[in-house]
Amino acid sequence: MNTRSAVCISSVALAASLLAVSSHAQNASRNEAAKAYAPAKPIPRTADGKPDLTGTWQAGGVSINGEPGAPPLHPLPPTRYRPPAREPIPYQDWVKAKQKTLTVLDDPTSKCLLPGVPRIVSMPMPLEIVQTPKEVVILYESFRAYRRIPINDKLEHPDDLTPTWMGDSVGRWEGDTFVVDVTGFNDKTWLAGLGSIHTDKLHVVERYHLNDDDTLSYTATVEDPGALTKPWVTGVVLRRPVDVRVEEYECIENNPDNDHIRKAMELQKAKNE
Amino acid sequence: MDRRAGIAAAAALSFYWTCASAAAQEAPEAPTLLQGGGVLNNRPAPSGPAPRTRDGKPDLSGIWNPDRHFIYDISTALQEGESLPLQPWAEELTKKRMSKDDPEANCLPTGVPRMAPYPWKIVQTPTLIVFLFEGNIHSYRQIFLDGRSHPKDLDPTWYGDSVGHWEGDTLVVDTVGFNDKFWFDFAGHPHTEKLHITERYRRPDLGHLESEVTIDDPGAYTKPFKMFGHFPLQTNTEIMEYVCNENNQDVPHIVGKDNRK
Repeated sequence: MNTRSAVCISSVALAASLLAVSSHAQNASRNEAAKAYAPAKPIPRTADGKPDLTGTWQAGGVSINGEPGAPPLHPLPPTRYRPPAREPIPYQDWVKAKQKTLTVLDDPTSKCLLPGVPRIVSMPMPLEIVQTPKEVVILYESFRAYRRIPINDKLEHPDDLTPTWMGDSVGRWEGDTFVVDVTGFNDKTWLAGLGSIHTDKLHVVERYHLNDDDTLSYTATVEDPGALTKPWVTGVVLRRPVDVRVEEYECIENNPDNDHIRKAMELQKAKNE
Repeated sequence: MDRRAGIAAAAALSFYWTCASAAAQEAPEAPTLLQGGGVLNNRPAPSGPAPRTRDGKPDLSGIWNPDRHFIYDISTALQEGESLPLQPWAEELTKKRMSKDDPEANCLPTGVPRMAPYPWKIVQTPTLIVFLFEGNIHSYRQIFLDGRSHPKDLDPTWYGDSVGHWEGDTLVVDTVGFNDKFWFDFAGHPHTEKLHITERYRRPDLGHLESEVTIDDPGAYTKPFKMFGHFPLQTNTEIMEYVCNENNQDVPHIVGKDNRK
């Protein structure tokens, strides 16, 4: 359960205990709590019968590796769906040693560089999915990033990929799930939290599944024989922020973050000594 | 003066070379290097009627070459014989601006209707049209066609807030809510936050996209003026990832002012 729905549900529970003068009242408030979730209904579909993922979505304020992370930028409705249980990233020993030398200042996003996949999905800012029969495009508010996901039933990538921050994506529909295969990454992004580096052997398979309460379950299977001992599975449940559009985000204009981080680290170091 | 470092231009050239030859599987044609970096392929734009979407609108989707008149100096995009109706302060500022201070050279967005010498792509749905820009920075514009109007409390931004509608076969895009930071071109033509832009796009045939752009900025110009753009279709390619702010070497190498038209 993520933090925000925990808060929401516990306030409903508190209201219930205050009203609990009779079992009748308890049942009534339980019904109210159940109504907080969108009712199950048929999912919207496009003219060609595929689930329609179009719209603005946002992760729930947990990072992709389950840390609390930054709170979501916009409030989100509750959902009964949960992300997959998150294990720590199964890193090889050389990575664990290297991680001891990395700080927040090494995070590419603190230099306004692209977050890569799957990390960008769990950013606190919303994203927008634009769906056409041949291609799905995802616009991310964070870092003005976008991804093009051409639909290709064989999931074939070009054979001459230049390594990039966001990789090369191809997608196909497997029943009602949109499956995206991403490869061709550089080795500069982080997967999730502090120091979660990878190599250019990174390969991510993403699954987008529209739920019957108007939420979108996202899971990513992350493989990297250069840095991981086995595949790592992570995910979030994306929800629709109300009356929100993806807005313009400019990171590099007057970005004072690194100076602040550096000062804070120096202060901490002086305190420790 | 070469505005864009040789590194960037050479990298773009090699990207395009591999991309075009792999995708097309035909004898590669030498791409044309735009002055100032960037590449236009010089395959002729394909001919044929403009496609239509399922709902009967002209289908503007495709990968388009930029128009150099929206890159170097917008006074070249005016109708023959016209000149930019600059207010005196704006003319003075244009002369003073040096290329190293161009936000675009510092990896900030180009604004509207400025283009960088890299291809751009239109993705079209009935309720939303998206412009995806490969460079100078990776970025996008959203144009809402769902009937909404501009929000009342807009923060000034680089691309403004765009809503669109169809007038016959012409897409009309209305944009307000700009900041005053971007330059209209390498020449440094300015604007203010009063800027209001109306773009009219049509696709006369398969291989061509045309625009008529009305600039209305009572803060910097004495009257509204119109610019005209022509964008040939690029085939057998895709837009690629371009990251400007990683180790950008250009700015210290940019000297003086770019006077190319």
